[in-house]
Amino acid sequence: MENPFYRRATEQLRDDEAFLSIVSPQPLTYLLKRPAEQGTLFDRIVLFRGAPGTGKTTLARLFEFSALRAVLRSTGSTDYEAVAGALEECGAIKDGLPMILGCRLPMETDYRDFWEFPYSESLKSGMLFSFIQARAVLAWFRHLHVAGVSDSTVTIVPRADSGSGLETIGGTSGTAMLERAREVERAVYEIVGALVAPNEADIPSSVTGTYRPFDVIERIEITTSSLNQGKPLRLLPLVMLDDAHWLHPSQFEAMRHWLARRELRIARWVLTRFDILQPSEALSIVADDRTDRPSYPGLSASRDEETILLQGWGQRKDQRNTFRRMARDMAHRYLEKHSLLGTRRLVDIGSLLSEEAEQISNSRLVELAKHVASMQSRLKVTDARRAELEATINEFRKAAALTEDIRLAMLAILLHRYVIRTKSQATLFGDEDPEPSRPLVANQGVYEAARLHLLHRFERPFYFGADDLCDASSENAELFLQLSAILVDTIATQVIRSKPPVLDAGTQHRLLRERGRRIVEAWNFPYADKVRKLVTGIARKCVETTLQPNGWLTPNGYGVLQSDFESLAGSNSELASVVQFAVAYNAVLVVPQYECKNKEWCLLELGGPVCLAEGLTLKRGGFLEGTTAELGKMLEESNG
Amino acid sequence: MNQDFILGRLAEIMAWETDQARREFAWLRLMSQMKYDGYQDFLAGARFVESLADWLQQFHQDERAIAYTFVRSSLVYISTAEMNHLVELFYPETVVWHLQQDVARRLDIRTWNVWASNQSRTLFNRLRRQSLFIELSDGARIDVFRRANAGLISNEQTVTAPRLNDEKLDELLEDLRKDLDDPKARFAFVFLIDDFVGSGTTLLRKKEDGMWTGKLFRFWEDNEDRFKKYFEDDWSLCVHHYLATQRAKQTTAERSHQIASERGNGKWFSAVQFSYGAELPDDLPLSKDTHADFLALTDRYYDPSIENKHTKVAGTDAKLGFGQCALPLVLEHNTPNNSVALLWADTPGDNNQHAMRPLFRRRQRHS
Repeated sequence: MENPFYRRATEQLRDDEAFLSIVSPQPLTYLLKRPAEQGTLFDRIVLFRGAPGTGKTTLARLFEFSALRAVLRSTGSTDYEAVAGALEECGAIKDGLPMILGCRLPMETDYRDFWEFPYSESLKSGMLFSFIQARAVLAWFRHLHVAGVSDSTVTIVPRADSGSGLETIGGTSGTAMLERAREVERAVYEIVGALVAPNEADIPSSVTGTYRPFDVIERIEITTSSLNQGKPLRLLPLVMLDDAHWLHPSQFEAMRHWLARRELRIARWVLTRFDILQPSEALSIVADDRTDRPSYPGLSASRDEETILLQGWGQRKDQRNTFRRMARDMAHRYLEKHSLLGTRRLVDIGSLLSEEAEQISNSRLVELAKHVASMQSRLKVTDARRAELEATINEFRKAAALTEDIRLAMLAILLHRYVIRTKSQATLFGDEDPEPSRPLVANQGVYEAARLHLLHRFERPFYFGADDLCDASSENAELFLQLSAILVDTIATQVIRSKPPVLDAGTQHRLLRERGRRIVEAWNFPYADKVRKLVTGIARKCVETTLQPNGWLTPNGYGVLQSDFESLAGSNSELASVVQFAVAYNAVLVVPQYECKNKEWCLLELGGPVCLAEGLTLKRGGFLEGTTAELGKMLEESNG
Repeated sequence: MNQDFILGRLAEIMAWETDQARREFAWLRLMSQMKYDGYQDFLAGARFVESLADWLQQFHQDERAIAYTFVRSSLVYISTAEMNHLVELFYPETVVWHLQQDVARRLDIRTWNVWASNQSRTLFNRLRRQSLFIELSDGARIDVFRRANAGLISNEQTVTAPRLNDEKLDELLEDLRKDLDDPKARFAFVFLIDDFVGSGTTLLRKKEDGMWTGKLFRFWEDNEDRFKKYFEDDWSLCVHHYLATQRAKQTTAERSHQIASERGNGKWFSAVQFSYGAELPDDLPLSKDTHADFLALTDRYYDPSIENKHTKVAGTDAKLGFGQCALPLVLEHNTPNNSVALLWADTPGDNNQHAMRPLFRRRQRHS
């Protein structure tokens, strides 16, 4: 029995059909539909940025020609219907025909080697660009060959002003263009693969000569396409440069400027993590205000390039709801592939994870009741007031009765709030039961604080149910699968043991906390130790506040003034780098320009695994106010 | 059998809670796929996990954890890939070294100069052809050895039976002379190969009556009169085991020395060299210090009916295996009889004795 939840990287799924069967169309629609409708998705350089596991490669693979064909081949199959619909909305498919000829070039091999050469910057860049272009052309033709299209039926539709550039790529004939691409790729590869780089003067003209297919090609036409019942099919070439963070930053910048030129007609996407950027740029990207453009989720538009963030985009509520839908859909697809659970149709993650809260044991309940009683006595709260507070609690959540432990924990919080709100009241007549300055209400905040108090005091299950699982994943698909895998394994174990498949709240909570701790311990990215120190420092302060007896705040983030954050790269470069990598690897999520108390804040919201490990709420918005200087000190203190 | 079903049964047998079951299932799946299911005596539908469940059931509930822990953390299993790796290393690491030494000796040059001249390289190639590779048991995998060294070792240099006869040797010598184009050529090296030596008893030992016996002794007895005709005057004998215990290594060297001094010149090989592909660590055998609980089980669940004339050769009983070696070792093609009997013994349980169930059923190679 193989657990497919352990196989996340889409590169591991070589077969298009296998790949498509696990892809959820939700993020595709949400992120790409509107820019596609606006015509910006394929007409300028699009920079996709995201942490590992946010689905960069998945997205790129979906737009490869072979994947589009696989989708179209299976028209009518319910498995692919949703994916096909999403691709149509993005403009990759129209009327049952592919509109684009996409190829994905992983940048992790060969390309960075150019930077090491002892040549001039222009020659190094020129060689890199020729290599990318040659490989893109070869990849486009490879996709066409797999689709049964012969070279002789392929012609190039050049830009009207391509001039003599057309000759340098082999002319309009597909066969000649392919031959020329092979020649260039071979010539450049001989240099890349050489043990010792040849002298600049010895580099053959086939490498240094002009070769700019991206400047020339407007469309690729298949004259008699079997895909279009023998009629011509005109495709927009799309090159997707995946994992571009492997390039040296100067290479990346040169490539970005080269692809940003407006005269290019082919579509070009660059997919990268944040690592490639300088801290100032990385932080300014995540600190950009994107909430005022709800119609372009994740999109930062400029005249020459589009930036699409694959995580932390758009309206926060939308993000969470969209991710929950996507994650459930993804879990459904993965569970279908599970040899044990799929065959038993146990494929709905929601119904496999119990949402029924578990009360603490009776002995602990007695202990808690005594504690609250003594607290009432110590705080000098009358029985009548207590009864009133209990009535307030009863009023809250009428539909679903609260368990006794939660009622007691909520009461403890309200007792403290009551005392605080009566402290400043005049006690001229020695009133034994003064009225609070503001009415006390048992609300969601009190309920959440009570649950957290019980978590820390009695390890009462706090993290359970599919929504908590999704929320703990920080809108990251890979993280979701990592967290789910252990739950799915346990469900399968229960099935094998002939026990009910549904995981109780206690088991979910324990497994998720354990996994959260392991994820944090296993971080090994650049600055991982310092990131761990930083988030642990923030988390400990958050726990301290969470455990305040009046439960006034349940934070899971740290807020600094937006202006303070924006100057971070200049004021503390080490902290800026730590924050950059914390963002790049899901340790924190930056929430920029957050309005609170008439000030503009930038929040560093702790990632799901940190919240699980430290026992913090997964609900958003609660943060501790601070400064970047305090954050820097936190790092120094931790170092000491 | 459906593995998931038997895993469920195993969880019941072991009384595992869900968390432990999940962890153990993952380990069992991994290990059975990567290693244990490859054991040659397992049958389709009754492989490792099924055998484990059956094996564990013979113990009382409170003893099962001891037995399982032994399998989980002490069992050493040499898989096909690992054994083949040792076979593949034999030529480059052992044969080449022997030949290189001999070329250097014959030409009076340093060993590192052997590759520096045509003369020494030619002699090396000639000596390689003058080498005979004889397997002492089918565990020697001479087929794998041949395939791994195709182009270097010819079929006419390998012998798949330890008992030679004149017809076979005549044939081998004729091929050698034809290949070297030398009508007087004879063999210069003999490599006797076996997979495993646990106690060294099967290879060479002195019987109670003071007579020597064992495979090596038999090789001498069988061929004593033939050496002059088929082998050069100063031919070398090399005995190679892919795997050996420290005890066997030491015992073999001592006995070889003893027989040579007892029998004197002309009555034993003038030089025998022993080599090993991998040597098992000194602390591998189970001891009271490290495995007291499991050794108690080997006492409690022992059926003496497994004893026979072979097991009696090297000890009083076979609880800890042949020669009291107390090994926790399983080879993918068979379990050595030097391993603790609880691993391999299979008895019907007659005479009010405990019916021993094997985890890795052993195929008897001795007749």
